[in-house]
Amino acid sequence: MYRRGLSFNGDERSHLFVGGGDGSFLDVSPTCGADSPLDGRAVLAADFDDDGDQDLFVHNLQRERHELFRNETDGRGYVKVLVSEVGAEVTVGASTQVVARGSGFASCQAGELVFGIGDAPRASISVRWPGGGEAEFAPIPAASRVRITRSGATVVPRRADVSLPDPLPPGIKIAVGELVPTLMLRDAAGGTFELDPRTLAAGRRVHLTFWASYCAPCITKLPQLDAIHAAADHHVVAISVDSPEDRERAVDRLLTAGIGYTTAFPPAAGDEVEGFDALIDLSRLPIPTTLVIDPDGRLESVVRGTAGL
Amino acid sequence: MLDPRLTVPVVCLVVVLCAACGSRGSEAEPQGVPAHVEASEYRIELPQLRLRRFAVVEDLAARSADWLGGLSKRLLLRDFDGAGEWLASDFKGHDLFGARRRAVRARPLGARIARLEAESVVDARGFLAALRTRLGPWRRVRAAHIGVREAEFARDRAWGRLLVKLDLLGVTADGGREAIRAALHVSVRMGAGSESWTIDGLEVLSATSEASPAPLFVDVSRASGVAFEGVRYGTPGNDAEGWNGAAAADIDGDGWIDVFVPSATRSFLYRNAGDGTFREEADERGLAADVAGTGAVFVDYDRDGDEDLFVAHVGWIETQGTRAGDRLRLYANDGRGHFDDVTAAVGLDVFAPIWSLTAFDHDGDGWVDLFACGYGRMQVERNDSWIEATNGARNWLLRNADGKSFTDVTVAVGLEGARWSHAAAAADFDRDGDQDLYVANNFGSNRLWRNDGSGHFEDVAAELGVAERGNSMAAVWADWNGDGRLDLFTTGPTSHTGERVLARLAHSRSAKILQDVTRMASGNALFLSEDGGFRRMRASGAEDAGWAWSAVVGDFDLDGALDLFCANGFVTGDLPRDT
Repeated sequence: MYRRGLSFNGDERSHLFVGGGDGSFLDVSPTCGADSPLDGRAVLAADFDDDGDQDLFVHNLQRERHELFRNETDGRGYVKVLVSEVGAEVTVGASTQVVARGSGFASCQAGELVFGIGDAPRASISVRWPGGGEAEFAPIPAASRVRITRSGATVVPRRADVSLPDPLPPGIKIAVGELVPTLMLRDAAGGTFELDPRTLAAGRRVHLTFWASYCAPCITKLPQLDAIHAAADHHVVAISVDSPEDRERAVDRLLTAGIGYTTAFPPAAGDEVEGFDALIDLSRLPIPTTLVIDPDGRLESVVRGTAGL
Repeated sequence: MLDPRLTVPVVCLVVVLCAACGSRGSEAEPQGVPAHVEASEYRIELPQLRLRRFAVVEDLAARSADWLGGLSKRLLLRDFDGAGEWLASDFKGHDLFGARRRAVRARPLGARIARLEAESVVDARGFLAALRTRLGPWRRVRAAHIGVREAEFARDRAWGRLLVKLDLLGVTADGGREAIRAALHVSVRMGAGSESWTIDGLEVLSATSEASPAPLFVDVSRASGVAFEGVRYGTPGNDAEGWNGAAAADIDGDGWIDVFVPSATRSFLYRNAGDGTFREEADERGLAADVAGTGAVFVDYDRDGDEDLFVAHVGWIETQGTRAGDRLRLYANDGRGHFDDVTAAVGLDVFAPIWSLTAFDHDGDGWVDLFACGYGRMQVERNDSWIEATNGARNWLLRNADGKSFTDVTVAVGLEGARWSHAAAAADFDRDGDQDLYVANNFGSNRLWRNDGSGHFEDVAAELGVAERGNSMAAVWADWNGDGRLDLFTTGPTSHTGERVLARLAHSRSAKILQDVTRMASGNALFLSEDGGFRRMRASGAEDAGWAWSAVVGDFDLDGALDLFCANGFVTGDLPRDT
């Protein structure tokens, strides 16, 4: 049935359960930021940027197949233990983790374990080796990385002071500084027209605003945009993302607000969508969002919400 | 005929009068509803004369769920005018969105949870105004979902009472996250077709708001270079529902963790560039030819100090003996992160429908062996039972002989059986110095294979209380309660539609069958190590992750207590309705 387009446990959001240390958990999924609605399968937790917290990689069934979530925990105490021997059990404080190659579902974690240690200046580490035998190691300072083998422990330096990059603005597929592609759009009368940012700019800044008639903050913003449009070196184009049956209402809202700038709608089914699809992912775009395009046709900045321009 | 939904006496009287004069049509004025009803006294009662026929009730419940799906869409769009069309003109209900927040407790990392207490009963206009005030300032509504958990309808089908769960997730004006979650009784008035239904009452049973000024994780998929837009499930190039594995390791010894992702038409090797970005280098590194892999593990099978790679595939042997599909493959790392296929050289000739792999040293000889979970091929043969299926593909234990060859020792070590195995996890749970193995199966009981120290295994799952039966998807070992002993976490699906059906069946089916069926949709389980066995923790708080697949343990918020992250969801289609 799901092959015919129906959902079967679809749109479920990934879950983060924060442990209480006693076998209980708090479900913090809705506010955790990694609660993707995609159909997730394998999961990797690894400190990909070596900043001392574990990021998450998820392999999804379809659409956006590979997702990477940067962990934002900063300034909390941790130690990182690098052990390559499969089956070793590592204990720090009250937590014990196992070095596993192949656990969860179709997932293989790297041989690095991260432990939070709160405000403690240092932490003790103990290891149980597969086949028997235990080892205790002298306390190591907080924020250290230590490689442990059967012959001992070696503190290793942090590799580099880097971080996974900041997220790109949601719903926008090009980076600041890149050329904005030419868009084929629909006008209020239902006709198509081409919007070439460079031609349109002609020495001005173009403000491409995405809005909808049902969006209260958008309505608040419409007059502001009109004032900007009135200035000589600015040009506003508003693209309504209302569904086709609601477009009449969108046009009414603009008429009511006495708007003087160009208004447009996304390409319809069968239209040329290459430029639009290269720029915008409507399913992820918060509204209102304004793309400010510089006179050379490059994306200069992205303004979200009702913030002034 | 007294309308039994409203217990407030004055309201009842009015409703009786209205019903008598036939003025409850949609065009009727909301006349006579008292100006003030105490929120604490407002209730929506069950119909006294109820529809009993299961199929009819379930059909109406499903239709009401579809109909409320349309309202979810309006909320997602913040189309408040549009949302108003779901409310009857004489709607009366708790003021959910104007409710007072009563702080309950703080959560990690600045998150706060508050109980929402409705303090008044409002009409449609008031309800929508509060909704607009509450959600209007959000930057974005990330999700809006209304799920029907229980439904009862009056015998004359004029109205029904639904128990619904409402979830609203948003990005707040300051860039934080907020989730409003509520359990509601909703009274729906039903016309002849599903189009003419309206909501005429709403009672808040419980409601919370969770807010976090800054989320723990941010999505950097595109910025870091790992984003890949795949084709829809069910289209050519993507028709394998349960594969999609992933493996992490530092493949080139530069200290940065890289990622291998097998998939239907190509593989991905994301090499970590050490600057926060990844480059896809499957082709340069000898892995481009690997297609349609399922699970994968990195492990140093030949003890030369680098990470080699096993990739599982779906293969089988035809009745006439010919090999079909693809084999389990081994790629040797040359020490610099370049891989060569050495499958034939190490004597591996495994054609089996394998999904997950687990590497561990089963006999303690210092060479890591490989356990491969045999699942089955649904295209050829369905599971012969939903509760204890015995016709899955066999499992494999492949013994590593000094890093030179692999031999099938499955039967010799006692790991026989043909359940539909999703995944496995190894650990020395009984602390006797050898590695034991837990295997999570679909359509049947899981197994805990205890190692006797000589590399021979015996299933002790039932004896030790971990024979979880149902649709287990994954297993993970760690000590979550800090007693120094390893606990076990398994994932499994929950189904809310299934629960709704089961709740009705509870009256009519045998307790035993019901128990078995219920366990199949009972979700995740945490088994705490205790007195040599395990105790399934009740209400651990981590049971419900929907249709959960993989789980991973880690201390994600670095508070010193171990956490769990679960990926989930079976298949999301274009149509909103869940089957």
